[in-house]
Amino acid sequence: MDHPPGVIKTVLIDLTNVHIATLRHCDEAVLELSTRHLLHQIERHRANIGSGPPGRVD
Amino acid sequence: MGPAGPVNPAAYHVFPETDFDEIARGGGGPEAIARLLASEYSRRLLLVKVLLDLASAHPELLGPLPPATAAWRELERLQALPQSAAVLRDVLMHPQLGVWLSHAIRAVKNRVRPTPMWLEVGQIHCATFAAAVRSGQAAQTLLPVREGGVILPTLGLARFAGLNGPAVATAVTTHGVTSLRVGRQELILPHDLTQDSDCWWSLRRLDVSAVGRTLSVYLDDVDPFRDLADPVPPQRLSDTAVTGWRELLDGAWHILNSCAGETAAAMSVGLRSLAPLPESRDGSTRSASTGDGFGAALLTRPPTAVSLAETLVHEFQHSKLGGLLHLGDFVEGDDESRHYAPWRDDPRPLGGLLQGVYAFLGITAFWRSRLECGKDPADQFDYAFARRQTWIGLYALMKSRRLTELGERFVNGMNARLQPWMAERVSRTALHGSWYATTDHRIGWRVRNLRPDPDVVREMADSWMGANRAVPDDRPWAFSAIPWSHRRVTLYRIHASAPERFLALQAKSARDADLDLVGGEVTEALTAYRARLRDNADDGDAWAGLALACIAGGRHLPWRCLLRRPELASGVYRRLRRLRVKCDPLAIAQWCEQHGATAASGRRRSRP
Repeated sequence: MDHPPGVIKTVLIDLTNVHIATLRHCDEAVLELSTRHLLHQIERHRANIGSGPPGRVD
Repeated sequence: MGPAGPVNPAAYHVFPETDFDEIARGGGGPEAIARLLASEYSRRLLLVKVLLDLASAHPELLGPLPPATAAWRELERLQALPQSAAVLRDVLMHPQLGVWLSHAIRAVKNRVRPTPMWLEVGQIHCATFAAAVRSGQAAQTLLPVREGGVILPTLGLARFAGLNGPAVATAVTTHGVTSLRVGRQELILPHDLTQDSDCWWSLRRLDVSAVGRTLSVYLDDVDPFRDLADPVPPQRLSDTAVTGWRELLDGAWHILNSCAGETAAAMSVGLRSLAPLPESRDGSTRSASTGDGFGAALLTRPPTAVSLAETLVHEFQHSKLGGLLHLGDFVEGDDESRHYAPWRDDPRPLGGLLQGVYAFLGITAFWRSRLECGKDPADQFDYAFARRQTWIGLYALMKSRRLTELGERFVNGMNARLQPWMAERVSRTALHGSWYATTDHRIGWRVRNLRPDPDVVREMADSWMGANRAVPDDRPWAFSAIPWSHRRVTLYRIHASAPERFLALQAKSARDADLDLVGGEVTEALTAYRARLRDNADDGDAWAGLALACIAGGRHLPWRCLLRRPELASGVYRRLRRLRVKCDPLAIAQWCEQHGATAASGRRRSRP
């Protein structure tokens, strides 16, 4: 799919207008790239832990 | 929901470059946030599919609860009904649901949870049931009970008395009446679920308005997934405490709208939940967030509305960057590097540094906007301090070779915003104080986190002792955790922002090195820090104080080593003291400055 200029392509498939019923039966291959990135993000779970000024930590 | 087709394999989210660059510069208006939320929704749906596909393949994951097919059917049903479609989307977009989904998938993949897996995976039924209740749809299902509680996301927590351990509740909602039953115990939830009862803790909302703009957030003290990852028990706030939070939030919202309107506009779209943390023992403010829960923040109750406003800015920056990071990688590979961050006591991975710099860019912008509004000249220190901290972190990012093309674009955007600010004038005391505060931290960090080459240290210590004998030293290099008080930063702030208060503090306090240093009594400070180090060679605060006293006193030679490689001076001094050699820390620093380069030539230098 060609993207218009001035946009950044992402690795997340657009499901905003997809019925859940359709998603349920969707071929895994269609979602594979996004799912792979998603699982990698989940495995590298990171929390931002801070404390107040001074010396706020992140 | 309108007509939709099959999943388009080529239809990936795209993000406008203008929005990306705007966010990179620390901003991002309501439209940009809405685009992030849209992509987060796709991500939530994908998370649901991953989890339910796992549950379909492994039915034991749902145990005694309805199978994955039942969850799918209920999701489909609720989405198909006009009355419940928007509600379902709202529930799925609840930050705590994002935290739960990631937690459950990790639990299934890693199989490390001691509790039954159906207790984790079965929360999907709580989500669909909550959507049904909210939209007035009849529903009946089985729900997991965790330590007597059943969470209905976005609604509240039902509480069974005397139940410990996992259990299963029969849940029914019809004609506006919702009941849960475990054995003989039946709970009838209040008709108005915003009101508490003996068996129900509502999920409270705080709605505040300023200049016609409203912020509506949950004040979540009940959802087990309001924390960073693992489930936590509820900690119900009293009505008085809630009133206090509402008043603080109202004040913070007014502050943000009066001085940082674009930030407030973005927050009104994206900020959804605040989870109170228990008060810190030392009274310090703590806050946290996770990329899994877009739009949520955990925080202790800040002391003032200004402090709360700053904290909200901080955590919302994390949400924005977290949302972008879900769309693409900013750092290449699994980064094992460790970096200095001016706001952390410990070394940070590159991704953590990136998050911190972005948060501090937001904090810098906040204080700058306060100054532009002419709120309080005392804010100059906080502005100067934050912008310097941000710059130090940003500089490290810009030197990194581990950023992707997207990461570089983002970092360049931050730099484009910060650079003009670095040249802006602030008061001399603010500039002076911010330099000392950031240098203080950097020196303290190096003393605590960097290990000079032990061979170099041994060689230099031997040289100092003027002997070539081999000193038996079987003991491993002791690199214990050195306490860090951060007291001087508070004193720098007070000195720059409220000089009268600093004078009063000096008058009523016993004399000490920190007060002397910040107050300009350099000779006294130098003497006191040297004495502290003679008593305790591991006093990390004293090492940084010694360095700053040298700088302030204009003593050139010792301060250079203390500034650039304090870990070498402290390492040599600590070794000599362990060998019971009498020596002076300042003399050792001077020795290291004169001989350190020679000793280190051809050897490894300090490393974390």
